[in-house]
This record gives sequence, structure tokens and C-alpha cells, in this order.
Amino acid sequence: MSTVRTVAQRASAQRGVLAVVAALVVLTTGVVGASAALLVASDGDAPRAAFAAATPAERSLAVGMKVAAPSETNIVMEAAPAEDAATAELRRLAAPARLTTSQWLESPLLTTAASGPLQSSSATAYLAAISGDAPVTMLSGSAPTGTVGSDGALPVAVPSAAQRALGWKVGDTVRLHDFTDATVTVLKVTGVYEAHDAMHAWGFDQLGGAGGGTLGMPGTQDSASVPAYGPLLTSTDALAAGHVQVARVQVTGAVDLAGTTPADARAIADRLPDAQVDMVAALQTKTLSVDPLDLRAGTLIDGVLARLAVTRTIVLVAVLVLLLVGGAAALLAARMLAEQRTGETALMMARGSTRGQVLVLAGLEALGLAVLVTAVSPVLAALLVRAVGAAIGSASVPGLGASLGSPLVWVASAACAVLLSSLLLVPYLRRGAEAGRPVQTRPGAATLGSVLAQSAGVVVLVVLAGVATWQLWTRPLAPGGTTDPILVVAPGLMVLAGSLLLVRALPLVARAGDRAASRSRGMVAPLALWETGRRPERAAQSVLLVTFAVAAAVFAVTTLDTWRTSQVDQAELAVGAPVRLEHTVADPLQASADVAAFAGRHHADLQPVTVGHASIAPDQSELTPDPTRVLAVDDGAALHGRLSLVAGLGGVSSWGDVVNALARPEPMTPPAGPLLPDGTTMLTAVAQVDAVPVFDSASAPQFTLQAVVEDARGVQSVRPLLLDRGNHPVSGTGPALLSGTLRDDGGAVTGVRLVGFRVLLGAAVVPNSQNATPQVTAKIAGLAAADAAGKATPVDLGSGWAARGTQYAFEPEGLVTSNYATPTMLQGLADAKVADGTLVISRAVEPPELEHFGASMVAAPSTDGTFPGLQLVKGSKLYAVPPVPAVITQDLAQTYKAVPGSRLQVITDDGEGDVEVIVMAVAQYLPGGSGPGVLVRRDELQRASGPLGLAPLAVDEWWGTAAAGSDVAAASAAPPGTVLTIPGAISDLRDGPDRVGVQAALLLLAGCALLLAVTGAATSVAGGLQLRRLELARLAALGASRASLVRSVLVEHGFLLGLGIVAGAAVGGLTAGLLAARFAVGADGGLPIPQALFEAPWAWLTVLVVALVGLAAVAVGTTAQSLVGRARADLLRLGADR
Amino acid sequence: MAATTITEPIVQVTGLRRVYGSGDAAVRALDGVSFEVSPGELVAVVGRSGSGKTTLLNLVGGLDALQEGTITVAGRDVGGLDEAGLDALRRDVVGFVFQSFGLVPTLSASENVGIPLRLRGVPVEEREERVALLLELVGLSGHAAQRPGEMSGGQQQRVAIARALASSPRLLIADEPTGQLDSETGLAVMALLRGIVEAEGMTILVATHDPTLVALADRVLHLQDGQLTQHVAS
Repeated sequence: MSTVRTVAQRASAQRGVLAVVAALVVLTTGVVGASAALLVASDGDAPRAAFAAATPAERSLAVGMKVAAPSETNIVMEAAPAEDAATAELRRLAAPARLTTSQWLESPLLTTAASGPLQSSSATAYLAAISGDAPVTMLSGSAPTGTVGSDGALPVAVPSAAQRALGWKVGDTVRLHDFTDATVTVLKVTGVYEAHDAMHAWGFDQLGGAGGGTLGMPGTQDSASVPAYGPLLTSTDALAAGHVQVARVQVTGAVDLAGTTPADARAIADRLPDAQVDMVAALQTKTLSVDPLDLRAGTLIDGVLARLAVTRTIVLVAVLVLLLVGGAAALLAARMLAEQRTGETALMMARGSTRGQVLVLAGLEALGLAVLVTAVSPVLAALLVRAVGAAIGSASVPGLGASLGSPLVWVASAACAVLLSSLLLVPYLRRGAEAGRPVQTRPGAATLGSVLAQSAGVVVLVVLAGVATWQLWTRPLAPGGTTDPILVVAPGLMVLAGSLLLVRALPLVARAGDRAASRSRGMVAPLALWETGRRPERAAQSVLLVTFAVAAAVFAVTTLDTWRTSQVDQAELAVGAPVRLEHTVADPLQASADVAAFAGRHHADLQPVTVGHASIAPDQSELTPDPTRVLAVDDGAALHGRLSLVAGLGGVSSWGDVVNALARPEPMTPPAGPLLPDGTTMLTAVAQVDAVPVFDSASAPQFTLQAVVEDARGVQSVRPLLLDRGNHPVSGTGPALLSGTLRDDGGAVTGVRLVGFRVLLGAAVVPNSQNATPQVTAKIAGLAAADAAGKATPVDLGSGWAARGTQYAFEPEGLVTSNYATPTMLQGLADAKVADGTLVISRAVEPPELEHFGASMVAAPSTDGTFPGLQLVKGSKLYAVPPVPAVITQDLAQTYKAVPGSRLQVITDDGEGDVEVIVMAVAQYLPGGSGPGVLVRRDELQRASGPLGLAPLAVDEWWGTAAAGSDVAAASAAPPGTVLTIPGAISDLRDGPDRVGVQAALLLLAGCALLLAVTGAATSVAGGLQLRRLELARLAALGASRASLVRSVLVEHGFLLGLGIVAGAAVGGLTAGLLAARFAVGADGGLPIPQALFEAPWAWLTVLVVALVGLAAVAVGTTAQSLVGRARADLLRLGADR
Repeated sequence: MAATTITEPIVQVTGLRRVYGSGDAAVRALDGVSFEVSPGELVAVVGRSGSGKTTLLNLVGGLDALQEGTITVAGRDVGGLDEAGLDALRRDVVGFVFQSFGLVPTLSASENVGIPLRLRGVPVEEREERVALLLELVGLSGHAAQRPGEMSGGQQQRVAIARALASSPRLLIADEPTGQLDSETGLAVMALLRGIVEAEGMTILVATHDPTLVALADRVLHLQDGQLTQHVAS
């Protein structure tokens, strides 16, 4: 009891100092508690929220399998057992999470041909039943329901592509035939649909949701392809009932991860590498083959766990660094406390107390402090979590949720409180020195040798820090989802080693200051420098605290900025433009109009962008098998991203400038051709095809006339003009009245020009092939534009037209593949003229070409008689297409050893031709995605590829900007497509529940370090002045003014603060420079793309230093003003016995 | 001792009262003290501990707040000076020698001696010459680089005296300058003070209760319970 009373009396006597000590310990412990709360959240709320925010597609596990191949193997298996087995295996993979499954059942490919070999006019189609809500938009009619009706027909909805190509419409009855046994399936069209969410929901579809395309012909092992349409959607019951055979099955499961712990999620992810083998084993007797599994849930889990691992790592890093700062502050306070008790301790020992008894008293006091701090700090932790959440605008994010009741928070707080409180004992543990007695050194005592000799321990720490850093740079990162212990320890080790090393140099600096002070005339600065140089232990402790604090804050702020910048870079790279819209409407003009209306509503400016894939070769003999992204943009598409990643284009300040610099010097010809009246819905014309010598009437070919139109946004569309309002191509050679809508939905267009015609002639028997080369002629007359009311307005074709021939491969929808169209070939030569309102296009066709492929011609308005985009080579009739200026990615440049000026062949996968590009610059990455890529101007690509076949560039996406205050991001899921914005992507990458802890931990570290530095500086001043009060009183008695003494104190601590700031900035900057980029990860948890680059936020660092200096100046100044008194007679009288 | 012709007193104290505490606990440290000191005099203030010697010296040197009475030092009304005036008084007019020496422990002897000169902004070379001269005067030329902890009590006090003389004060106030010294050393210090008075014509007001030292004074003021009981001319 007596001991306790003694402790209480001792504490009461030093309550002011103890209050400062308690404040330092509470602050540090509170932040440690808040960090513990972040760790708890990263293991609970944060992953749950991250998993819950994922879409079903992102949480999916899917398997596709083939159960029947009647036309190939004649093996037919039951779908239901395979489906059940697949479902069971998926559930096993996803356990213990729940799995919600859906099925896709698909028929074999059927044909429209009644019997015999497939004709060129035949098409194929397949049926599918999708359980749940199919990702489609009905354009007309309704979704099919039920099974076979009384009329024996199976209700189906057909894709709009089938409607356009085959003329199928609501109410039609369609008969499809099996390839092997010619079994007839009668279908009733109940609706026409357009697929949406093609990127995610139609991965299993053979046509990827496009509704039309080509597929391998059954029985040919894909050596021949046929036009195909599908899926024709029907009900699950219809397929299950056996009305149509099932050939392919996909079972898709959406894993419910919302309630899954990270451990369970890790267990699921660990099963997935073997999932393919396990699935094949489970299905081997029930299927013909199993497709590669779609394991997007695994990707999601890996990404979330990896990001959480980074969050945990940074939180732990912040705690370790913070403990250094807090420990230094506590040691400083402990020293001050011991100094205040110097006399008391000496008296106790003089009266017989042992060193152990003094230690016990100090220990009990520390224990009491630890208990008090443990009780208080969780409350502070709660406030800090709330405050930092508000500061970064993520207070409601689960990653910052209150996890403060967790035992970990209390344990961490208690451990930190005990650790820091125990530092109060350190002054009493030093052997050979009386606790609190200041140590003096002589000027000149510090030499480089003596400093180094005393620095063996520091050197060991420096070596360890170096090894850790070297390890981090030379070995791969720890596997995703695990916390890398070296990464956790390395920053703290570097801060500790670097700070101690630099502080070791303090005596050398102080020695120089001492010399300068001795030679100076005044008193203020010398007094400060003498104090620093001759009581170096106190000065070193003060500098060490500031160095730790500044290093911690600089590391935190710099790492945070590097991390944030990396997230921004990743978001900008992935999205590519401030606003990016992936439309879901296939018809270009309809999509263009819809997007224009959408942009107008949301105050956005969106431009068409072509995103294709191509093969690259230095010449045509060396095609690369790896697809390269071809990005064709208008200059207004507002590409976004870090421009510093581009080399080779000087003087550019934006990606828009880059695109502008890719324009060729030749002036761009504005769109020519007649402008169609606004409100036009349909074009009509009378067309006729003939040949000299004339076609035999029995073998006359089919031909298709296509009008190429372009709207004001440069979007082109090819519209077939067919017989009977779009049912069939023309057969025969007689004149025929053709018509065609300008939009799939029959809607009206505005601001659209006719920019050309394409004439596609089917293969034909060449009459008298021994004779001269046949001359094919197409005549187009009576062109008129009709509005919705049927009112027709004649369209004046003008007078100047030019034409050229192209090679093409397939009908019926006019898919032109002119890959090898060489301008020097005969096919390139064609003529066009307008006479009496009739456009006559003619060309010579080699008989073999005509017999095997048919022929095609393109015509376009021309002012100089040459085909648009082609250059006439002087002295000949040869045409040349100039290379398209391009920026290529660094990996592509390395592969082909390309430099600015190099030429590459780009062969697009979608048949837009072989285009030669000339490299203007090399970029690390191109906006919109990673991997090899080629960036060109869209108009230049159109200009270069158009002449080869008047093939419009596809419009895949729309990129642009939004005005300030636009709500375009809120319309992310609304028609006409999916909207991505850079701010939205940044928010996902930076502020997601699994990431917000990174920012919180680093901000807490920076803020706490700043406060500890300021408090520590004030503590140091107070302690120093208490110790020197008699000395200062004597100086005052000698005539030193109070103001000069205060100035001296300010100079002294300003000097120490300056040293600490310089040393801390160096240590923190070096630590962040070496390690900050290692904390950045990509969305999938892997290395970020683009790679993270060290960022120094100079503005924030300046603010940090100014704030530190300002707050420290106020704290030191206030403390000095209050403690430096007038010359005091009582002090002078008491003298050394004060 | 040769009698000094008194022209204008350098110190004039009239009706000086100083009370510590209040009410029943009030202690009258000085109660109606009046005296004058002429330039060049060495005046000893004697009395038992608690008689008010140090209080008197502190008031004269402007280190304590004047409650009642007037003090004039070198023509300056100490009670009417503000803080800056008091600083100037201590810096330019008065020199102090403390019983506990009052040296800055981290500074060498020469640096301690140079403090008053630094406070007056004396040029470096002039300061160094003066410091060397003073250390020679007090017999410590060979100890210039030593710190107080490395010197004996007598040496420290001589350094303190040299520091007090550094700014050539007109009045030197010494509070028990030999209190922590043995008798032999104390006598040497007092002899040094006596020599300074004779050599530089400086006025010294010294508090002591050492009879040996009192004998060296020109005049002795006896303080008892805060009152000046007698003036004795040596």
C-alpha cells in the first residue's frame, strides 16, 4: 500500500510531464488500434463487400460440353445426366459457398437447304434455350414460350441479323433440316431480338451474340465454313422435351461469395487449378468433350485476396513505422520525466533505496499508464477511423467499418500501450549513467572515425535493410493473397537504419556549427549551436524523433501518391477515355443515332472508335500468330492516359495531339456523294447486271446491290438493296426494283450521305470462256429516298464517279474479304460514269475468278476520276495506298525491331484488309488496354482500307468526354450500352472496400507522425528549458534579454528540426522510392499495367513540411515563451540546489 | 584605506522594503533600508543568513521586483525601468558574481567570460583580446579552454569574476563570492576584488559573513532582520 501511495505521489508531482507522456502514448496506441481495426475489416467486412459488389458474371464458374455430334460421329448422348454431373461438380468446387446455376442447351447446326449439298444461297442456324432471363432486347414480337404448338411449330425468337439476311420476321414459319437425316424442324418466329451484354453473357455462344456470321460446316472438320445465324431462342422445355436434339450444354454457376470468409474463398481458389481435370473426370462417360472451364470466380477471388493482402501489408508496414516514431517520442518523454526526477531519485538512493526499488516504482507507474492508455485508446481508434474515413470520402465503405469491438483491436492496443509505457524505464536501465543527468561532450570530440566506430549496430541495420530491399527487387512477389513478411518489415527497417545512420552524423554537423558559433559575434545563434553540439544526446534524440516522423510521413504520403497514381494509371489505361461507351446495337447508323441522343442527354461528346484485332508482319510472309489490338480513333475521342509513356512524337501534350500528329499531309477529302433528305427510311433503285458476252439465262448469277451510307459522325453502314423489300438477292440479269432500309429497325436517318455502291456478283458460268475477258456491267437508275410515309424523293447521283474492282469471298450478306487485293491486278481496274441519271459501273473479270468467286465492284463519287483514297502513280495506271501513320506499342516494336519510320503490314481479323502502317512513335501502352497494339487515326485507316472494298470500318465503341456536372456515369447500365468512365474506374480501383484500407493506414501514419513530431518537439523544448532554467536565469542576470533567449531556443530547435526534416525526407523518400511501387497491384492482384512508377507529390510534401514547421514553431515558440522567464532572483539564490 | 572623495553616489537606496508572502505568513526581508555607495568603494553587506543580504543585492541589481522605496544605480531609477531597461542595466552597468559561480557548464572559461561581450555585440577580435586580458587578470590564462567542471571552485569563481568584469561594469555585485570556497581561496578571491577596485576604480557591493573578507571592505553595512543596523567605515 505504501508503494502504491508512493507511486501516486510521484505521479502527482510530475502530473504535467506524465500528461504529455500519456498523450504521446495514447495517440500512438490509438492509431495502432485503428490499424488493427483495418486489419479486422480486411479479413471480414472488406472481402464480403468486395465479393458482394461483383456481378454474377464475375462470380461465375461455367463448363460447356458437347453431348452430341450427329453429323460427325453419329454419337448422341443424353443431356440431362451430363448437366446434373456438371452441376454437382461445380457445387463441389464452390463449396462451402452457395451456387446458383443456369443452363444453356443448344441444338446441332441445322440448315435451310431442303436436301443435297449446301448451296451458296443456303444458310444454317441453331437453336438454344437459356434458363432464366436471356440477355436480349426484343426488337419486335415477343419471347417464345411453351413447346410445340397445335400447328406443329416450335416458337422461336430470331436474332436481328437473321431477319436482315434471311428476311425472317414475326409470324413466319421456318423449316430447318438436319444435316444427316434431313429431319425437318418447323419453327414459328414469335419475335426478333438483339443480344446485349455481348462481352459477358454470350461467351458460350458460337457467334458470340452477334446473331450472324460463319461457322464450320458440319462434317468437314471446319475445313469449310457456312453462313450461320443463331441462336434461335426457344424455351428450355422445348429442348428438354426432345423436340429438338441437344448437342451442346453449358452449366453456369454464380458463386454466392457474399458470406464467404477469406479462408473459404482461398479454399475455393485453391481447388480451381485442378478443376478442369476434375470436371473431365466427372463427365468423361457422359459427354463427348468438355470445353475449357470458365473460372471467372477464381479470378475474382484471387484478385480480392491479393488486393487484401496488399492492404494488410501496408497496414502492418504503417504500424511498424509508426511504432518507431511513437517509440522515439516515448523515449524522449521518458528522458524528460527522468530529468525532472533527478533530484528525487538521487535523494531516494542517498536514503538507501536500491536501483531495483527505483525501477519498481517506475515500472508500477508505467503499468498504470499502460492500463489507462489501453482503456482510452480504442475510443480514439474509433474516432480516428471515422475521421480518416471522412477525409477520404469512404466512411461508409465496409473496409473502414467499425471493427473496434474485435479482440484484436484491444490486444493490439494493450500491447502497444505496454510497449511504449515500458520505455519509461529505459533511463533507469542505463548502466554507468545517473538517470536524467545530461551528458556533455567537448567540442571537437566527434570525429568521423569515432562516429563510425560507434555505429557498428547501425551498419548492421543498414546491411539488413539493403538485403531486404534487394530481395524485394530481385525475386517475384509473394503469391497473391499472402502477406510478404519481407515487404512488411523492409520499410520499417529502412526508416530505422537510415534515420540512425544520418543521426549518427549529427555530431559532425554540430561540430561545424560549434566552430562557427565560436567565431561569431552575437549570442543568440552560438548559444543555440553550443547547446546542440555540447549536449548531443538530447539533440540526437530530438533529431531522431523528427527524422523518424518525417521519414514516416514522407514515406506514407509518397507511397500513397504512388499507389493512387498507379490506380489512376490503370483506370485510365483500361478505360482509355474519360467516357467510353460500348454500344449493344449492331446496326451502325442506329447505334450512332442512339449514342448521339444519349450524348446529348448527358452532355457528353462521344466519337466512334474502331477496336479491332489484327495480325502484324514486317511483310506478308511473316504473320505473327498473336493478335494485336488495332485502335482507330478520331482526334476528338479524347484518349486518356499518361502521355509520358509515349516516345517519338515531340511537342505533344495530349493523346489528342498524338492522334492529330498521325494525320497524313495530304488533305482529307470531305465526304462526297448526295445528302439524303432527313427522315429517309429507305432507298429504292432499279438495278441491272449484265456481261459481255452476255450471261446465259440458265446460269445467270445472283447479285446484290449494296448502298454505302455515312452519317455526320463518320459512321458508315452498308445497306443491301434487295427484291421485295429485303427478302432476296436478284437472280438473273433483268432490271429489278430493289429497296432497303437504312436502319435495322426501319427508323429514319438524319444527315446521312450516300458515299458509294457495292455490287456483288455471285459465281457464274462464263460464256465462251475461250473468248475475250468478260466485261461485267451494273446499271443503277431511279435512285430515290423514301420516308416513313412512303413518299419518295429522287436522289441526284451527280456526275463524277469512280469505280474499282475488288475481290470478295462470300455471300449472301456481302462479307467482303479482300485481303490480297493487289492494286496492280486486273481486278483493280473498273470504270464508273453517270449518264441520264443512270450510274454505270463496269469492269473486266478474269474467267477463273468469275467462275469460282464471282466478282465485285465498288463505286464512289469522285471529283478527279480516281477512286477516293487512292493515289494515281504518275505515268501508269497503278494505284498506291500510302501507309497509315501509327503509334505502336513497345512490345510490338521490340518484336519487329521497328523504329519510327519502319513499315508494318496490319492484317485485320475482320476482313477490313491489309493495311500498311508507318511507325511514327513508340508507346509503352495504348489507351484502352494492354498488350501489343497499333494506334491510328480512324479516318486515315478508313481512307486506306476503304479503297480495297469500300468496306466501312466497324464502330465498336464510342469514346469521348463529358461536360462538367454530366450524369453520364450514372447511366452506366442504360441503353444504348455500357458506359465506363475513368472516374468510375478510378473509384473502383482506389476506393473499393478491399483497397480503402491502404489509404486509411497511410493517412493515419502521416497524420500521427506529424503530431508526434510536433508534440515531441514541444516536449524536447520543455525538458531542455526545465533543465537549463538556472543557466538561463544567470544569462538573464548577465543582461541577456528574454526575447534573445527565446530566439536562441527557437534557433536551436529550428536547427534540430531542419536537420530532422532533411534527414527524414531523405530516408522517407529513399524508402518510398525503393519500395512504394512494390505496393501497387493490378485489379487482378497481379503486377499493375502500366507498371507503377514512383511518384513524389511535391505539393503535398511541401504542405507536410510547412505544416510541420509551422506547428512545431508554434509549439516550440509557445513553450519557450512560457518557460523562459525574466531573470529570477529566487532561482539565482537557490543556485544548484534549485 | 584611502578615503575617497565622494561626488555623486553610484548607488542610492532609500526606504527600501521587500516583503515575501502575505498575511500572517508575510516575511519582511527588507524594512526601510537606506544607504548610498560612492564610486570606487568596496562595500560589504554583512549579516546572518536570512537577514536580507541577497534580497538587497538582487534589488539593487534589478533582479527582483521593487515593492517600496527607491533605488538609483548610476543615475538610473531601477524601479522605473522596464524589462528592456533592466536588461540594459545588467548588461551595461552592473556585473554579478554569484555564490554558486553561475557559469554555463557547457562553455569553456573563455566562452563564459565572453558572454557579456557577446551580449553587447563586441567585435570578435576585441572580445578575444578582452577575454584573454581578463583571464590573465584573474590568473587563469592557462585554463581558457577548460570547462567549469574541470576547474576548482576558486578557479570557477575567478572565471565568474572575470566574466563580471568583462563588460567593464560600473558596479560589481557579488553575493557571497567566497561562500563555497575554503578560507584561503576565499581570501584570494576577495583580494582580487580589492585589487580590481583599486586598479579600475570599480564600485563593489559584496554580501558576505566572512569576517576576513569584511576587513578588506571600505565600508560595511550590517543587516539584521531586514533593517540596516549600522554603517561601519573600515
